[in-house]
Amino acid sequence: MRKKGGGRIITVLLVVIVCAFALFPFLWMISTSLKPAEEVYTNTPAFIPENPTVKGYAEMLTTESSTFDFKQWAANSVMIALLTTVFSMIIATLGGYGISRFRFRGRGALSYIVLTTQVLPGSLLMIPLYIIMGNLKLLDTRMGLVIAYATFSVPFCTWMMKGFFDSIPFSLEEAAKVDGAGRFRCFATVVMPLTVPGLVATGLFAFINGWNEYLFASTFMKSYENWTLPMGIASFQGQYTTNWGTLMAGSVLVTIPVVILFLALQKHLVGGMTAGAVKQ
Amino acid sequence: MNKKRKWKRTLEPYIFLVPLLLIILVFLIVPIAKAAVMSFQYYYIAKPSPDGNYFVGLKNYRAVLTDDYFYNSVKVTAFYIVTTVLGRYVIGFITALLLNTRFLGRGLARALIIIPWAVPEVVACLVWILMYDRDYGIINFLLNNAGILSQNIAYLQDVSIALPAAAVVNIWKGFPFVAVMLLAGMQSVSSDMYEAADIDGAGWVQKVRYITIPSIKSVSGIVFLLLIIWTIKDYAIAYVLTKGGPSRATELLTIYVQQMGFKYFDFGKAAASGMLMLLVSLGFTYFYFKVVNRGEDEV
Repeated sequence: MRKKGGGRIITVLLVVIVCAFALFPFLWMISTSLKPAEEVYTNTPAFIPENPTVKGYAEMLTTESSTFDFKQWAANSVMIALLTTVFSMIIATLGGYGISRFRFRGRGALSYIVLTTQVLPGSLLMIPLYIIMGNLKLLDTRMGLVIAYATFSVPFCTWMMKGFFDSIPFSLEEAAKVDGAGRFRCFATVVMPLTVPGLVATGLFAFINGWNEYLFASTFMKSYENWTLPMGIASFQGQYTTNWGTLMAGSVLVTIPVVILFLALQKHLVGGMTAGAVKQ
Repeated sequence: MNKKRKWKRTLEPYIFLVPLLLIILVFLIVPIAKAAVMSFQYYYIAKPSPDGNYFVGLKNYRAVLTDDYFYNSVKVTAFYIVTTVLGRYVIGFITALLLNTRFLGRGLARALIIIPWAVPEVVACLVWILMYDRDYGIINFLLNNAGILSQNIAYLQDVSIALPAAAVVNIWKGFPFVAVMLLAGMQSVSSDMYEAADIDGAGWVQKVRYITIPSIKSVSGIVFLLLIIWTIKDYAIAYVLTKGGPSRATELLTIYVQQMGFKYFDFGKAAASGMLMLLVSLGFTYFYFKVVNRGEDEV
C-alpha cells in the first residue's frame, strides 16, 4: 500500500517506535553483557558501556564447578534440540503426507486429535508424564526430554507439513506413478524435494522448541550435568547476588544461535507458518 | 493377487501414520487418561498411603473448587489472557499495517521485528527482570527522567503491579507472531485492489477499513483463538519472572496446577485442577475447529 506526504512521516515514526519496543530489551541484554559491574549497579545506567569488557563471556565459558558447566549444558542443548528436530520431522513428514494424501477411515478424527493436542496444558501433562517417564527410567535423562519435546512439537509440525503437501499438485505424483514408481518412491523422489521450504520451516519450529524450553527441563532434570542452557542460566539468577554482566553474557550466548537461525530462515518460517497453520 | 493389492491399498495410509499415532497415543492420550484417573485418586506423593492410590470419588475436585487460591488463579488467568491477547493483537495489527506500507528499510524492519519471538523465554524474562529492577533498572531510570515517576517502583515485587508487568513481557514476546501472521494475510490482497481504490479516490483509512481488514478476517479469527488457547496453558513467563508471587499475584491456573503437583506433591489435586483447566481450553478449541474448518474442504 502506498501513502504520501505527511502520512509517510507518521508511518516512519511509528515504525521506529515499534522497532524500538521490539529491539530494546535485546540490545539492553547485549549492552549489559559488555559492562563491568560498576556500570550495571548504578542509578544512571548508560546504553553504551563506558569501559566495555568481555569478562562476563570469559567467566561463562571458562567457569567449571560441580554446579556450573556452561559448555556441558551447551552440548546438551545442541544434542537435545537436534534430536528433537530429527524425530519430529520424521514423524511429522510421514504423518502430514498421510493426512494430506490419503482418504482413509478415521481421517477426520485423526485431524481433530492432532489439533486438539495443541491445547493440552503442559502443567497437566507434566504430572502423568513424570510418573510414566519415571517408570520408563527416562527421568533425568536427555532422551526423556527429547521424547517429551518431540511429542509437543509433532502435532503442530504435522499440521504445517500437511499444509505444504496440500499445496503440491497431486498430478505430479500420478505422473510418476504412471511411470511405474511406487507410493513410497513417489513420496521420496517427487514430493519431498518440493517441500524443502516446508521442511526448513517445520524443522526450525521444532529446533527452537527444543532449544528454548525451560519448564519441562527444570522439572525432569535433576543432575547438573544433564541440564540444558535455559536451566543453567536461570539457575544463575538470584542464587547469590546476581552478577548481571555475566548472566547477560550467558543470555547472549543462548540467544544468538536462535536469532541467527530465525533471521536466516525467516522467509521459510513465515511461509511455513502461514501455509501450514493458517489456511486461507 | 488382486486381493493382496487391495489389502496393500487399505493399509498404505496407516504405514505413514503409525509413528504419528504411536507418539500421540503413548505420550499424549495415555498421560491425559492417566491424569483423568489420578484426579479421582488419593495421590499424595509427600504422604503415600499404605493402601496405594485408592479412589476418593470427587474429593479432589471438591477440595480444589472450595480453595480460595484456585479462584484467585482463575481471576489472575482471566486478567492475563484478556490483557495479553488484546495487547499482542493490537500491537501486532498496527505493526502489520505499518509493515504493509512501502518505506525505505521495510525489509530490515520486517526482519528485526521478529527478534522477540526468537529470544528464549528464560532469557526474555531475565532481561526484563533486570530492566524492571527497582534500583538499577533502566525503566525506573527512564520514567524518572521523563518526570513520570517520582519514586522508584519494584515492578515484580509489588502485588498490584507484578501481573501487569508480566503481561507486558508476554506482549513484547508475542506480538511479532501476530504481526507476521496478519501481514501474510494482508499481502494476499493483490495491489490492483488498492490501485482501483486510489482511482476511486479512497483515502488511507477507507482502504484499511474496506480492503485490508476484510482481507485478514479469517487469519484474525485463527490467530485470536490460537492466542487464547496458547495463553491458557502458557506459564513460562509468569513463572520465571515471579514464580507466581508476590502473594500469589501472578499465580496463573497453570502455575497453581504445577505448584500443587511439584511443590506440594499432591498429584491428585493437581490432576483435578488441571482437568478443570483442560475443560475450559477444550471449549475454545471447539471454536477453533469451527474457524479452521471454514477454510478446509473437509477435516
